[in-house]
Amino acid sequence: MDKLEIKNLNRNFKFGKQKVLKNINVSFLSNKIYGLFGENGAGKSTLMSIIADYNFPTSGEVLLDGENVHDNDNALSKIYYMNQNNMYPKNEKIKKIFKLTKAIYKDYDSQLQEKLVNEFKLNIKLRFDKLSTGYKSIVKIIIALCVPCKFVILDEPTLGLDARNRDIFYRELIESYSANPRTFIISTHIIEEIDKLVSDVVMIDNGKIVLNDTADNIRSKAYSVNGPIDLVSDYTKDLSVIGKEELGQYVTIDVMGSLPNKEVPSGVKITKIELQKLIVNLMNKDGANDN
Amino acid sequence: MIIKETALYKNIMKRYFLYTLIYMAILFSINILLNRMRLLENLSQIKTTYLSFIVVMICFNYYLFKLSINFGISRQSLYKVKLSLLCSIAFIVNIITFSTNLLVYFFDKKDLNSFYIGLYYGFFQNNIFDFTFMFVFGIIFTFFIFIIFNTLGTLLSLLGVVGKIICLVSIYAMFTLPLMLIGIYHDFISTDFSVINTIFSIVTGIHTSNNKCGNPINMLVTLIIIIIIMLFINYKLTKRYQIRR
Amino acid sequence: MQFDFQSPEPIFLQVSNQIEDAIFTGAFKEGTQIPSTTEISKTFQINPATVLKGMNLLVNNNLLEKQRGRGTFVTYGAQQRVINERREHFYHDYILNLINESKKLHLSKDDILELIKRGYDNG
Repeated sequence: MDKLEIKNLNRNFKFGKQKVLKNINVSFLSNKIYGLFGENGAGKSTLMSIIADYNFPTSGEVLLDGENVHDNDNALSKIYYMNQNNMYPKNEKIKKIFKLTKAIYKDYDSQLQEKLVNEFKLNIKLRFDKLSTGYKSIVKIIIALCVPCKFVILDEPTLGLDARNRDIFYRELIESYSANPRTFIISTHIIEEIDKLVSDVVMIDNGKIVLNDTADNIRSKAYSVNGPIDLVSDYTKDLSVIGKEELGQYVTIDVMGSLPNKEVPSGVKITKIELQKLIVNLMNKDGANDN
Repeated sequence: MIIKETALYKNIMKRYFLYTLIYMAILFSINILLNRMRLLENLSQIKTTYLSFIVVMICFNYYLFKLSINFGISRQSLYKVKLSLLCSIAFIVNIITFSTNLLVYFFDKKDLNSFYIGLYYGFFQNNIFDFTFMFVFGIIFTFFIFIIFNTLGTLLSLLGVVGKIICLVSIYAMFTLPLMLIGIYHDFISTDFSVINTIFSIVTGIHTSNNKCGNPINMLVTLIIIIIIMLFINYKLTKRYQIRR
Repeated sequence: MQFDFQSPEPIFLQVSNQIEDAIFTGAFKEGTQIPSTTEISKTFQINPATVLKGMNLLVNNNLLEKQRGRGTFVTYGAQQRVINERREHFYHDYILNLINESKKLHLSKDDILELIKRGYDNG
């Protein structure tokens, strides 16, 4: 089975003074949909560009099926990075870009491309840099869904997309994933759109991985404990707290981990937290809480 | 991944080279029709413009890198594509300039402004050998120019603004400094240039002391040595490319 | 099908419950084909693997069957099986809780029976 492993990855800037990625260790397995979350500047784009060999790490390695990805045609042909940079020549027509991509990738899915062009109502005679942000994303999305790569990395795929096109994108993503299983790593700020879609969650905070687990596991381990302040605080005192909200005499404390063996005091209610709220809580926390 | 490399190669050749050729051909025809310029002057002028354009184009490395990495082409393969492009373009350009020169020669029987003819032609004392060697020399020389400019372009692409300025200033210095040193040597040390003359003869095969025909093989060897060094530097530089965000 | 994604229940469980409900009410008739995992995941933007997990629960309970090349169908007798299972749970989910709650309110067994009778008379 294909596996994309990131081992002990570090990336420093300014001669080591600025550490953007700190000892990242994470694996991406085949045929799963990963959500890569984190604040702006947390290091998501840096990580993705290093995986795709766009940039080099300061130390550490990226392995695909055990082979180092760096300068490796075989490994790189299995990875596609849909990114926010201008990768195409100026004034290039969309039609030409598609044609070139098709020539480069032997098993490019032209049928799907045609279907998507129609669904998104894309005019391929236009020039790429004359498009709106949304339509530039659409062109990139189409290519990303049609390339025959086992690992497709999507950096903010819905940037600039209106509601209708976002809906089309997710539907087509699911359809393509079902018909042709491969790994998608989606990085987005709009967590609620994909929180049911992802099977696994990886979260980066301040250059470190703070969460790396399946969505099901996380949902089963995250709880919201609500009730009078003293009772709740006592109940949660040994637990990993990720959020706290006070309202008069009452408090809601969000925790992660298994619930303690003690009996739930009367007046205290425990519910599950939604994935999105959980991630927002983690992002708001000061300092990483090692779990 | 030969497919990818070939596809990229074909795309670049078609997009830039072919269209430049067509553009130049049109320019040429228009010039003849509208200005009724003499065929030869026209050809020479077009040739120079064309060559300068090619040289400039050769310097655009970053966009080629962006295109290649986006398609999962490693830097090593990118280097191979680059070299193939340079070789092919050098070959084709050389055929064009060579034919241009021939035409000018036959139509006008003028002395060509080809430095090769002036310096080296006649060395083999056999027209066929001389001719063939001139052609081969031409290709290698064209490739030499290309690889130097491409390596320079690659280096400049990797540097920031400050780096670019320092680089260009250093190159300028590299050219003016030797001349300055020779001048100083002449004025203050000795007017005896025999050492310099000997070195010059070995490197270029041109004899400054007598009027004998120059030995093009020396120059060819020098060019090839420099090309090999440049190829190595270019490879190392290409491997260092990264996306700037 | 309706999903409440705020619910603490795992999504795959919600999927299987919703399909089971549809079998129970007869919305998905026995012997007919139900929407594919892809269709359901596309409509609600859920991970297909999650939908599949939910469906497989029902396949294991003999409420759905997969026919190769054709799709997933409701098994014959599924509706009755759901009714039987829910009757089993009725005692546990409703009756026991009722008795528990009534004890807190100090209601006797006869009080309960009165209330039940009242409920039937009114509704």
